[in-house]
Amino acid sequence: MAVLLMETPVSEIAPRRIARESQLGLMWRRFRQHRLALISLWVVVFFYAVAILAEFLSPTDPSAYNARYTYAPPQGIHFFDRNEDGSWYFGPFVYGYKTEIDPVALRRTFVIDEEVRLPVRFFAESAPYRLAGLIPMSTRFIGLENPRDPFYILGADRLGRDLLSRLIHGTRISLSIGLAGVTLSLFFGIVIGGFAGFYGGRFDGVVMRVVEFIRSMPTIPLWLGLAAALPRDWSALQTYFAITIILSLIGWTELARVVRGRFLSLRTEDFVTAAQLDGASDWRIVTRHMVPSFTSHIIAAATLAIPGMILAETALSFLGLGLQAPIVSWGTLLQDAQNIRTLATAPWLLMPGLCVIVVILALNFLGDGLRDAADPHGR
Amino acid sequence: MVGFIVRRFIAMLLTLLAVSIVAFAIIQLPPGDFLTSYIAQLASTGDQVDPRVIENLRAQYGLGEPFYVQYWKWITGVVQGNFGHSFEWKRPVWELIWGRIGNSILLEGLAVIVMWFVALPIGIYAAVRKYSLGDYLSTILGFIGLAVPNFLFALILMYLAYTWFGTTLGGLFSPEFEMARWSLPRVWDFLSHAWAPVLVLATAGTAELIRILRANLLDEMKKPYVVTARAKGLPEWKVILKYPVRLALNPLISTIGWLLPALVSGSVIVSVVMNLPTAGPMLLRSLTTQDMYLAGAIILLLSVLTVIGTLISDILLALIDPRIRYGAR
Amino acid sequence: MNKTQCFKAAGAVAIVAMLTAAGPALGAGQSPMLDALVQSGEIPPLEERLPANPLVLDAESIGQYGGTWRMGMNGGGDNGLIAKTVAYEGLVRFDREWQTVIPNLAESWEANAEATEYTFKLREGVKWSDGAPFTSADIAFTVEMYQDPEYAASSWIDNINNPATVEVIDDLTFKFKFNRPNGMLMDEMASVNGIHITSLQKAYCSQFHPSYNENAAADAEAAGFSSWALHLQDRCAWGWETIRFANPDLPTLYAWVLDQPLTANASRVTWKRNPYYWKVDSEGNQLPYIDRLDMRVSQGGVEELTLAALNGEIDFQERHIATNVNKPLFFDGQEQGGYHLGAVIPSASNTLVFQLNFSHDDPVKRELFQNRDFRIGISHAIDREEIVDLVFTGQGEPYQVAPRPQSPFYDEELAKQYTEFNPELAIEHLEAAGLTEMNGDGVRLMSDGQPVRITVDVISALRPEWIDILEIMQLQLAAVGVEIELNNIDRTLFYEKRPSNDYDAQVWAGDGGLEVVQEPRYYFPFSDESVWAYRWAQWFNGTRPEIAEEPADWAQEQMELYRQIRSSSDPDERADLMRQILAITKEQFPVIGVSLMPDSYSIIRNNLRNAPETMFNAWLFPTPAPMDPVTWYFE
Repeated sequence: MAVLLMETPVSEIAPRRIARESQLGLMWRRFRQHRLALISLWVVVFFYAVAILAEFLSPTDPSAYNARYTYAPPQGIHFFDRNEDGSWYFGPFVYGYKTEIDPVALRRTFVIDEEVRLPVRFFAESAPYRLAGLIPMSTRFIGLENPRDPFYILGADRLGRDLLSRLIHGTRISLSIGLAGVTLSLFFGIVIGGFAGFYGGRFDGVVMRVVEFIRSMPTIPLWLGLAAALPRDWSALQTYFAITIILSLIGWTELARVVRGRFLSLRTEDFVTAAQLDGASDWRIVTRHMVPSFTSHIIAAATLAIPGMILAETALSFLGLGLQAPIVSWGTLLQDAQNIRTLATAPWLLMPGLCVIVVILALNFLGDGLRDAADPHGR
Repeated sequence: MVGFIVRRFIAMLLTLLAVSIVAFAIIQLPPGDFLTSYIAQLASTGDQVDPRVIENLRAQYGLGEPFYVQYWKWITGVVQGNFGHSFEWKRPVWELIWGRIGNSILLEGLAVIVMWFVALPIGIYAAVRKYSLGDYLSTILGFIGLAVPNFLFALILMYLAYTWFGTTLGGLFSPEFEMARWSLPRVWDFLSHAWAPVLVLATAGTAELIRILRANLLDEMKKPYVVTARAKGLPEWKVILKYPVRLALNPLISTIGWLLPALVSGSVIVSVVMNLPTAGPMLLRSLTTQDMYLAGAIILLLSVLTVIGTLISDILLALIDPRIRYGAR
Repeated sequence: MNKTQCFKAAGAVAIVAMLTAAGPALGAGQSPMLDALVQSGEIPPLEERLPANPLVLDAESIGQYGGTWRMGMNGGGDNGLIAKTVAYEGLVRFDREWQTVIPNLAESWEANAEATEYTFKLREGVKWSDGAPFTSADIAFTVEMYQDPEYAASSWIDNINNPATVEVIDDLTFKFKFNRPNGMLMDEMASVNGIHITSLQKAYCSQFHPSYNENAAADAEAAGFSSWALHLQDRCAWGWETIRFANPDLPTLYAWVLDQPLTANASRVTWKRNPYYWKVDSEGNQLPYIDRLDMRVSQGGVEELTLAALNGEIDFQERHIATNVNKPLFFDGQEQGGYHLGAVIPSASNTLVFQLNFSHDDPVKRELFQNRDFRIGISHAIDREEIVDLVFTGQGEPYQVAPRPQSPFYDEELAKQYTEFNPELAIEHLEAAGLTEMNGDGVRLMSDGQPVRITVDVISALRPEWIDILEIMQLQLAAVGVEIELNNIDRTLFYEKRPSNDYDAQVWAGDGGLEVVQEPRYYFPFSDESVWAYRWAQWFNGTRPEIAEEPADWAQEQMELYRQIRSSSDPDERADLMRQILAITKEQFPVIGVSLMPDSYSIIRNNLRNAPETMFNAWLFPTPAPMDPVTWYFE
């Protein structure tokens, strides 16, 4: 036997790598295999980065209007052009507009004027502003040499305001409402769902009845009633927070169910029992043993809850109850765009709708990917 | 089993009682009452109402009484089948809402059926061919449906119908069928109007169903009995359709409960855009004019529908799956 | 009707001769729709249905019977559309130019010199839509109902300051009497408010009132109402109240009677011709020409209605859809939709009236807002050309809150003063108002050291352009050191803030650009809608004495002048007094306007004849009803 063993070439014994991976590390490895989710992650990161850097990234002030460019169509952004002498021009630029006013039909007509080339500058000088209200700055990511030239990459709205800038600022409001709402929901959900799941029994019964009750209320009247009950002389900021709270008041139930479910199933797992027999305190069991084993689930569930919040924000604005102009959010931008005139003559104003779709898709795939990755029995 | 149903039934009654209180509280939340909004409406056309007239109306409507008195009057009436009068229309609430609630149930019922029809094959396909191109495509399509805001989709649909076919989508019936009795042509007319809102409503929920079905099916397919069936040489379609799909359907039944409130909310917006006489727009209007008995009755009825939906799905599940019957206390 | 033509305050308190010189051959023609009914004996022949002296309407052309006029309502509560198309049938009416009062159900009237007694003579043989004769008794009954506190209606009939009493002389003759002179009664009765007095038929409505039917209370209970008053209001609602059109049994004097009523669930409201209608064309054919009306009821959004109009499914409409934003859309869609656009001249003077609260609870703000220099400063700081260009695509012109150019009260100085955009001048006036100091953010400081921050209440749901204008004004005013904050709220709250005095400023459109004498809310503290001086208006009207405040001397002077207008029976004298009021307005400059309300447009199907290519749009002059839709027809 020994001889036989000896005959095995040393090189063929694979070095046993003692690999240690944390729960999250394992999850990340699984997650990376879900390509759609990975792409989505970058999309989401991109949008949140835009939200944070809104002032820097937006070419102009979102409320800067210009009478000469109402409903100006998108200029797009170009990189190559042939000069008159036949040589090539490189570098980002936009074309100017030729404008005519039609007083009978009440509109301006725009033609992209290929004669006028307006080069785009990076880190262009601008009026000083504070990034996120904190860091004083005086350059913007992109801009035109002459700030008085029209710069409407995605077109202009009815007051000649730059849609791209408004979209970027709207991203901040809409995405943060989603995030803040989910954070609040998560807080309520974890605390309430956690207690219910851990202690079970009567408390659990009561909580579950409450959850069931809230879920049996149609959400629209709840929103309507609560939104209508907000003191109307609140400032925009106060309303913003109130709307977030309203959305999360309804949103926490789903998370509470998830958390409770995990707690209930984990409570009887052997490792928890082992910890209890070891004499660990409830607190230690919960934080050290139970929570890590379902954090990933919570993250997934929370990710999946954000789209609902964003959609709810747009729906509330549509009904005239949520955020209102002059606040710029995807909801209020879409509220401006939801008429036949826009569809017929200024379809670029539906761009916020596209953003909503992309972000919600991305968040859903991300959530799905996280959930698949978090599932210890997956694949 | 009987005990289980009785317990669930009592819980349902308690839930309904709570719902009624909350519903009534919600409609009382905004400042003012029906008369203040009525005066505001008149005033904007230049009319001024004599304060004495308002005092009289307030007394006639029983407004200005404390909350619990108003609630008690209302709820005792509701129990006897009297939902009170609509302030705006001066008609019994019941008379106003049954048709609307009917339309809502009809539309949403159709939407649910469409959702299941679409979600079932896609969900099965996505689970069987996990991470295939088809899986990705169908999931993306489903999620796009989920992600497009309802009102935008409805508006675009209407505009395209106008520019491409020169028709206006909207309403549930053509004028000539509006008041007619149900007949085959009327059903056809209804369907030729209803497809658009049903489509809009269904797209919003299909993705969720696909997701649940796919996840459930994947769970089931890992179970030993499926492996056994495969090992015994059963054709693949039979392996999947015979048991896993059936079992995966169980949780779908429980979606009836949450599907209804979600659809009601979605249908409010779709109905406003597409001009559908469902309960949604009436609820919206009654909330803004503070026509409180009307609003209260609609909220209550919609909640009742949901709660009953949940009850039915619970009972169905308990019938199908004994584990639930005994597991849930 | 052209723009230069003067609008004249109508007010003929003379005997108006019958309009019909030579009576046409009566009973010349009726709609084929009615022939069968006559043959089956359901209704009597035409000559028995028409009055002895029907009202003859001359139209461009003699029409043909038939067709359906399709239009759209926004939401279930859109009774305004009905008031403006079907229900405008008072004793008297305005002519198409909104100049003189002409006979309608009354064929003549006279007033005494003090304007306290008006005698009316009704057309003989006019019948309600149920065939019963319309008499003085119906008028007396209506007055009685309106004055019954249990009946929820209010109008000039039961005006607490000067209620009407009625004296019936015979079946066709009656007198209105007033304690105090009521020189503007005829204008009031020719306006939309004239609908009130002809809205109730005694025979039908008295059955719901206990004075006429001792079982009224029991009947009400049997019908499911908690009191007879609610039952009465349900069956016989006032004037143009929404639920009035939910009762198809209610007899009316309209050209069309309800077919499918306006219930909460109606997806359309339809009307069919009234066989007893009492107007004829110049050849004696019974009007209206159009057999049916079809009002589709939207569920709260107007987009479907817009599409329907684009698709040629609307025959004539201005309401709801003819917005500034939609104009290019409708302009382009004319060929495909088979319609064209008519001109509509609004009665409002201004796109936005900026009203500062003169009775602010904060004494510092109160003093500031009452300071004329402050208001002039703000006015000069607004770049109106830019707003007109941006928001209204160049339509309109810088304008104050003043009578429109079409009005006989037009005064260029009043309309144009302080409209020049001049920041230096603005700063000069603001400093004259005591706002000399500034804080670090460049906002001027009031006398108590607080920055000038004005919260402006606005309802964007009503007119979306208000927000646009205010957002631009916000930036323009910030440049001179005045901060305004937009407070976009809903209508109920907007109104609730007035009595509780909980507002800095509110904005509205400039009513009273044409109806200067009848709607002077911005010229002096006239009504609850004079938001800038709400508490002064209470003092004037005596409606809420607990919050009334004594007005400034100049306002009291205006009020006195207006009292004289009310008691004058001479139109020229009234016009003269109104000019005196406007002179004080010009001097005091109480509210700030932005721009002249631009013309709107109507959508007219190409096969619709006799419909007006140009008309006013107002509420008191409830167009298109005064343009005689009964004479319109389809080719």
